[in-house]
Amino acid sequence: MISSHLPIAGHRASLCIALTLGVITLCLYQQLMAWVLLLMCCAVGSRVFLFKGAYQRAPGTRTINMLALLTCVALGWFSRDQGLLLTMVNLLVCACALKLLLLQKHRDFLQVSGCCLFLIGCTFIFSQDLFATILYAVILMAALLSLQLLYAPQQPFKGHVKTLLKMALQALPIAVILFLVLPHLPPFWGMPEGKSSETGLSEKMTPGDIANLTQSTERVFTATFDNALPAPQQRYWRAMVLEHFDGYSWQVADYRKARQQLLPLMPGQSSSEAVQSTIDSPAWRYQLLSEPSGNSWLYALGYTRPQNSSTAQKTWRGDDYTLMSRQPILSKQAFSLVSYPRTPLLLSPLAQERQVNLQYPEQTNPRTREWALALRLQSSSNADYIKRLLAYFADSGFRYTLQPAVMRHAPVDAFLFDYQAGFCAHYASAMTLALRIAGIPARVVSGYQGGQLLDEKVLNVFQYDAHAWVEASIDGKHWQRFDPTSVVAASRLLYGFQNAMADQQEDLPLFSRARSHNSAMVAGVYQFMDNINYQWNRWVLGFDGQTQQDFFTRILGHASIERMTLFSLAVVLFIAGLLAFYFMPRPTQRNVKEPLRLYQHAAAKLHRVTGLPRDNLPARVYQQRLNPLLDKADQQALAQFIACFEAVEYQPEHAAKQNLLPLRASYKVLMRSLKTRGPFKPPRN
Amino acid sequence: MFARFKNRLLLQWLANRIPGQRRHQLSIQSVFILPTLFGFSFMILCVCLFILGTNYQNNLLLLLTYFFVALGLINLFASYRNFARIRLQAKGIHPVFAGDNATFQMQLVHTTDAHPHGELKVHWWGHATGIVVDLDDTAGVISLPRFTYRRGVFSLPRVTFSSMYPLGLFKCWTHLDFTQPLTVYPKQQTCQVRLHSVNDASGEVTSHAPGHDDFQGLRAYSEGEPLNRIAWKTVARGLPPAVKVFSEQSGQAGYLLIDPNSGELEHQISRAAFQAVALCRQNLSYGLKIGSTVISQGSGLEHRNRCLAAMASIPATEAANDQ
Amino acid sequence: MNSTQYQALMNTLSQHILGKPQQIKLALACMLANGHLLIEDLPGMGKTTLSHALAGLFGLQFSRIQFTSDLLPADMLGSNIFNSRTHEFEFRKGPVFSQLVLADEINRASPKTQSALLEAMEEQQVSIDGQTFALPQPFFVIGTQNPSYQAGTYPLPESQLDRFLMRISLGYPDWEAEKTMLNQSGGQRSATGLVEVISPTQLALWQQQVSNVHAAGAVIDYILRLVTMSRTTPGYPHALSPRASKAILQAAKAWAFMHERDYIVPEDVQAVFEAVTEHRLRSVNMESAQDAVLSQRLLESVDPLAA
Repeated sequence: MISSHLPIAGHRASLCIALTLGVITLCLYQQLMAWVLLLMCCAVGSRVFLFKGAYQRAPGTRTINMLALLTCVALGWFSRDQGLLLTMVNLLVCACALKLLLLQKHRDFLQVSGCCLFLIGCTFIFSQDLFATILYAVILMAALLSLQLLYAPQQPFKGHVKTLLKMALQALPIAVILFLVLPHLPPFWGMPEGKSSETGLSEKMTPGDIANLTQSTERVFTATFDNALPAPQQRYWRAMVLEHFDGYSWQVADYRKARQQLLPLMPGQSSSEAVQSTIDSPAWRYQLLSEPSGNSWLYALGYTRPQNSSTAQKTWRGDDYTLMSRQPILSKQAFSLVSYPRTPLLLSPLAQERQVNLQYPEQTNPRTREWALALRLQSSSNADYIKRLLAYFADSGFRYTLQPAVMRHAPVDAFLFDYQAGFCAHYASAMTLALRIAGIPARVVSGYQGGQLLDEKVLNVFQYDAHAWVEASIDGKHWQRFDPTSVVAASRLLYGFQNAMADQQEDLPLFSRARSHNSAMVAGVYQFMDNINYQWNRWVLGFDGQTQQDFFTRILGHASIERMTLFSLAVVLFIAGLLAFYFMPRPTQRNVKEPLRLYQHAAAKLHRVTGLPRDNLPARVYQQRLNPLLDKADQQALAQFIACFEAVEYQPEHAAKQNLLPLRASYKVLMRSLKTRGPFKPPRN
Repeated sequence: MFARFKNRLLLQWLANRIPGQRRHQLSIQSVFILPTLFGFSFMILCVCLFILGTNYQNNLLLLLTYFFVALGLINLFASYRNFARIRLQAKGIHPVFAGDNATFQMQLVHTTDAHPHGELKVHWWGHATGIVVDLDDTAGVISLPRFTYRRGVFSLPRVTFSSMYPLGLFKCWTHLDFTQPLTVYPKQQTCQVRLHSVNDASGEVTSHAPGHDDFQGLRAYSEGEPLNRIAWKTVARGLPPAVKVFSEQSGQAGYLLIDPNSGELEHQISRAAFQAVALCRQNLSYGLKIGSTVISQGSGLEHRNRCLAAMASIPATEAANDQ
Repeated sequence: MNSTQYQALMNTLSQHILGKPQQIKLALACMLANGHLLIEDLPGMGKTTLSHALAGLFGLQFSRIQFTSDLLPADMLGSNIFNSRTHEFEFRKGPVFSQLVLADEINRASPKTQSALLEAMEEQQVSIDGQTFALPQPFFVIGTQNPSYQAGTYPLPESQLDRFLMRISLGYPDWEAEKTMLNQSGGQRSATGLVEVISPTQLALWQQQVSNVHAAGAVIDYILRLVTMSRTTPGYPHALSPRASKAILQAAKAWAFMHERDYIVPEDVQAVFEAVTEHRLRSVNMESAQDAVLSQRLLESVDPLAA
């Protein structure tokens, strides 16, 4: 390895790697701490100055070591509330920045480039959409370019780019083949998570929470259905069940959490397995492509099972019929699911569930309690009670709004009797409490409702589709879904959030997705980008073990050992063939013209027969040298052939054309004449 | 001891594999290629990315990993192809005096279609340091200096060429033997020029005789000398009178003698070398006699070089070998 | 070409220059290609005889300029002389105003004189005191040069050697030829006794025909490959210039014409190649015997029949 010192001013490779690192750092700004960003900016800036020669002396080793020490301390300090992954990324960026200041030898440069390549890999953990991927691909090229600049400092820039792009294009097909063919393994071990971003639902719902959510236009997941779509009223994507109520907020009950710890470890124990026997058609089969949320809950329509084994390996079901991923979803992932809408959700045989779903603090909302108890007394049955309850919401002038008043004390009381305006969380919360007061087990379910059709079978669900509704058990056996919000704002249910909220959109930014429905063109652009993104998500990000399996099955039919062996062999051969195609020296592009080809054949034959090589001699001189070695007939044939050859090659066009046929004829004569002679044997002495 | 043995074995093997030639076209036969340290690190990086990608179930990371693997593979071939495009031809090496740097010149021959790119490190076989040539930059001549210690006619050792273009993942190298002889003239040792007559070795022949041709110097005036020889300029400056002395080449030129069996052979040779150079500078005629071999009289640069080459090729005595 | 005329020409020339058919043919080709000829040889090899013979056979007006170190350009080109009768300057043409000029021992003259001649060769005209005088047509220069560099000579620089289409050297005659020569030396033929075989008009016609000889693409490619090889391969002190490639083609055409073909074959190129290129490739201070002939090396390394 060359360990000579690198030049400083005008060294293109250093500048290139510095700029590349700078851009990567900017791409990672969400994950990096401000001071790390600043450090990198300084490093890149100093590199630029050094390149221009405005500043001659690079900082010394001692300074850098001091800085490194400081950085380590700071990173160690912040690492506690950052999580391992982010700390690692921060550390890498810091190391790169410091090394960048200290580029003295080839080795330093290689270390920085190695780190840079790894950082590019890390960026893919955090974002994977198509445009980010294109950006990262460009960055990757820049990083490789800087390496190449290091090894060929004087090659013109254009040549560098050409060489590099050529190599990349050559490598890409091989990479794709490897990607398609090599097995997609399950995770080896759990990875440290980044701090979950605050998108999505949370495990605790206090009125006000979901309103913030509805402003967000981030996509949550995409569902691709195999056959018919559920009707808009049926699109209740259950995410989690909030059972514990403290008078103010709803959250996942502690016993539920405990079971969630336990259940993944013992499959088959789940009570919902019992329902299997009662599965009815119809079923909705769909592929759920989840955006990274940092959480492990998934979204399911009613009673849902994994469709295949690879999804089954990745997920488990809670006994509240929620679907969970075994790993937190940190990157886009696909799940194949099947839902049975008619299958009832059973109440757990454990008494605990019933007990929790009847529990409420009696003091917090006294007015509600009185009112509910009175209402229950008026009702003939639980069903009648629920009907009256919904009728109350419908007739008492309740409004749906995204900007409700703040209700700090006795929120349900305030909502039901003072303000009578709120959104799904308020309605669900109030109804569930009323049900529980009346002795009906009830719980809040949060998730998403609705979704936007991308095409006939593809549904996009965005954060603003977040919703909360009620599940109650009238008969004590099954859970039944009630949506009090729909009573107030039926349009939300039928046409989705966007239409329902058409009058409340003034605050949204002009080109936000939520507003896009006003203009056909903007909508078209969004539609187009959605489509591209969808295809990208579906085919690239959603390509998993199962898809691969299907792919193989489609190609190979039944996958037997022999077939797989043959297939792998074919793949290896194909890659070897590709390499050969790239690198085998090509025969000269100009195709040799016929007369010359004939002559060369003849000369080769004559060489074999007589042992006299042509050695760059012109035709006639070679003929003269050959003559003594040939017999009469051969001589004549050769003379005829050479005469024709000369005529074709060297005479003016018209003569040349006339002589082409005689040339062929004389060639045949010559070859026939020579055929009788065996190959030349050197005389032995 | 073991290292020397290994070195010899290796050289023998190389002699079979890449025979010495004046002109070399690198090929699969003569090019060696192995991953560099960075190449190995790159592999480790790929493994890390693969683990990361699998654990996060991140398809893009996996794709990136496979892209790196494929790139490494492509690089192996690209690296070789670039290196194999190099064609070299020895331009020869000029003789030098011992203790000077000899410069071995090689010509890069460019074919019309494809040029090799990148930096090429060139050094002598077994040397750690060498020169770095940029193939995109040079006019095509590589000059590799070689320090010479003692006189003699040596065959040049193999020259090692290595390149890590394009991404530094692989290192291509080769050891080429250009079969060029290097003549190292003896070191010069300042002394008086003395020519001997060849027939009776005892009779010294001075090459300078008093004459009329060339001004040689001033000498103190003694009475009786011709007046036109007095240097009047010095007299005018108030100095004691001096006489201009002229010399002319002696009619009879002599020989430089070297006795190959002498105990102080090296000194003799060094002195003879100095005299040959001095005589050549004055364009005087002289001959050389080494033991029984005689180089007849002559003058001019070519004659000088012939004499010096003859001196270089005198076999060293035992004493010199031990040094 | 009329073969009888050609045969007559060759026969007469061979009688004057014994045992050198190849050189005679090259000299003829040079004239047909309308180029100047440089003969490089030791004294007494028949340089002058050859030029005399050529002049005589073609019926060309001949003059000879013996180059010496004190020869001035005016001595060669001519000068304005005051005519006292007419009281005017009138131009007295120098010896260069002939159809065939033998510039003997051209390397003895000072560079100034040399370049004056070479300029006249290139421009086919002479300019003196602002007046331009056209040289007679056809105009040939046969320069002779002594190859051994003796004191007081000025070897022609490479740039000027380039002006000569060909350079030939006659060399010693072989045993038989010299014997014949000695035998007939009693009645040595004088150049004046030569009879004109070809008229200058006939020569002009032939030159016209030479330029019409067909050069196929394959031959042009061959010439280009040769020229390119000299430019890309080390070991050639001077690469061949485009003027050189033009010269090769022209000479090869003349050669083909002399062999009664109206098209060139690579053999023609090879036949004239050494004469046309050797003096262009070689460096002045290169010893002539130092290496294999450079042009020969080029010929050996280029395949005339490659695609």
